[in-house]
Amino acid sequence: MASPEKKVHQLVDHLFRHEAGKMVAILTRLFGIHNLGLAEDVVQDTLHQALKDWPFGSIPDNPAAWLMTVAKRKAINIVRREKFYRNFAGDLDTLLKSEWTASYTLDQVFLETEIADSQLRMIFTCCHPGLPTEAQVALTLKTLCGFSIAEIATALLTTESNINKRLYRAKEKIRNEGIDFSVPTGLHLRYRLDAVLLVIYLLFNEGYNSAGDNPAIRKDLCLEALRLAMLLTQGPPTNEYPPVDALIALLCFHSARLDARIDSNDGLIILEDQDRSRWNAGLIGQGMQFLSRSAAGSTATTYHLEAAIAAEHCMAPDFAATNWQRIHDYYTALEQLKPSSVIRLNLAIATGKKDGPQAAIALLHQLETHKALENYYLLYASLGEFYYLAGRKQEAVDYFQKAKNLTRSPAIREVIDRKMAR
Amino acid sequence: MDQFLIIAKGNYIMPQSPEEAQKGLSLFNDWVQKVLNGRFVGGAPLDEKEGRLLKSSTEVLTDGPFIESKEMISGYMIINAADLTEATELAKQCPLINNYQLEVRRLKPMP
Repeated sequence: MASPEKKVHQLVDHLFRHEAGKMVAILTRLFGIHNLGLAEDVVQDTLHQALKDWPFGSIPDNPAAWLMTVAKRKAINIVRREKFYRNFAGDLDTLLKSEWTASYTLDQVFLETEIADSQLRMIFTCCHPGLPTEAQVALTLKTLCGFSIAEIATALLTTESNINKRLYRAKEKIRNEGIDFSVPTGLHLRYRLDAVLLVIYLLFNEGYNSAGDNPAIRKDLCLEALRLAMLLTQGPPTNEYPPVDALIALLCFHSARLDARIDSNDGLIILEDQDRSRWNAGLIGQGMQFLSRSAAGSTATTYHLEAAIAAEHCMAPDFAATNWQRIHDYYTALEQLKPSSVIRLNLAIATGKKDGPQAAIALLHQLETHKALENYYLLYASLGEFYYLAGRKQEAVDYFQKAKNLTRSPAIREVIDRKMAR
Repeated sequence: MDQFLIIAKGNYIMPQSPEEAQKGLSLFNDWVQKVLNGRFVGGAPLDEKEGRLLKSSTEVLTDGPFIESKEMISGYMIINAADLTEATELAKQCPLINNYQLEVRRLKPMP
């Protein structure tokens, strides 16, 4: 008989999800990207076996190692069984098909360093600029983060069949266009790395700002984005690119506030009302470290500026003490770097905080003609807020009402209701 | 206090995602730690691929899974309980009940 009670461990949060991501990466390294589906099947099979065996009181001492060992054993069987009619990864194919070298090659690929390398390759493949952005995001969630189709659909506010289609087309494109499974080098690296950073940024934003009403999934998205970004810092060449550090700093600052912005009823607490003692000091400290590392380069990217803005908020002891002058300056620089209506909206808000409500109202009214902001609740909510601060209650209520009609998010609607009730 | 054998029969339903698989395991952990609370003796899954059914020392009836899959034994657990009623109540709270049929039997103490 196996396992007395003390051996029944508590599993680390998201262990399966993260191990699934690792295993898919390593098996794809072995089988080749054209066999991504096979890699996913083997992983599913491995988790399946764990779930069948472990509940009888015998969760292994090192569950992650157990999963990896089982996946490896299954991989050996597949290589033996299918070597006559399947091609594996180009550079390993011959080695895997010879009995002399097969098991040695497998051992090498399953080394810890190679696992990290495989994940990096997977990031670059999923975020290949040849794929449409929404496919990049879905593929990243599926293969690197171990999300199920249903979870991705919830996270991205769309249907499961939609996600299935996106993934199917993406995989088809990877096969047909010969998108490879490698970390790019030389001049390509920066360009491709920028694409990776953008996907991570979008992933995070999806979790942080989306209108989805499942806070748990949304928090997972944010933390997954941070985890993927951290993978880029583990070694060269990806850790030698300052925008990576800038993005991580930004994600750290925002993640630090995740818990403080949700109240006990899953409602949203706006920055002004957040209990700053609930901000995660560890993450803020980490963000500061990455922010100073990111200063190594000669160019400031949008990530640098956004991180600097987030840092100002994190360092202010309370809302009133926020350094609006500096935030205003960062937004001005950001607006020049990436002219966008949303940034001008933020700039208007910062101006209002710095120079008073009248200045903001004038700027906000100019933005009303912007196509991109036409149906954006935040523009009208901001107008409402500044009219309120200017003492013009009737206009304030009208704009708040308009903002409320433009958002579906119950959490945001509630915040607006509270604003109107003042 | 007697010992009871819980036999899990049948094949279970495959989880939809890694997260779901893990949740299943945490539920089991909770059962062992919070519900059984020291009354879990042990258990093991059974290899579903191979086995032998012997009729005598010379005759092997079958090799391989023996019966219909809904009757196949997937694993067993042994727990401590005051009587069959209590053992049954504990088994009902076991999350494996969602995936398997559970047979609860008292182990006769050998004097």
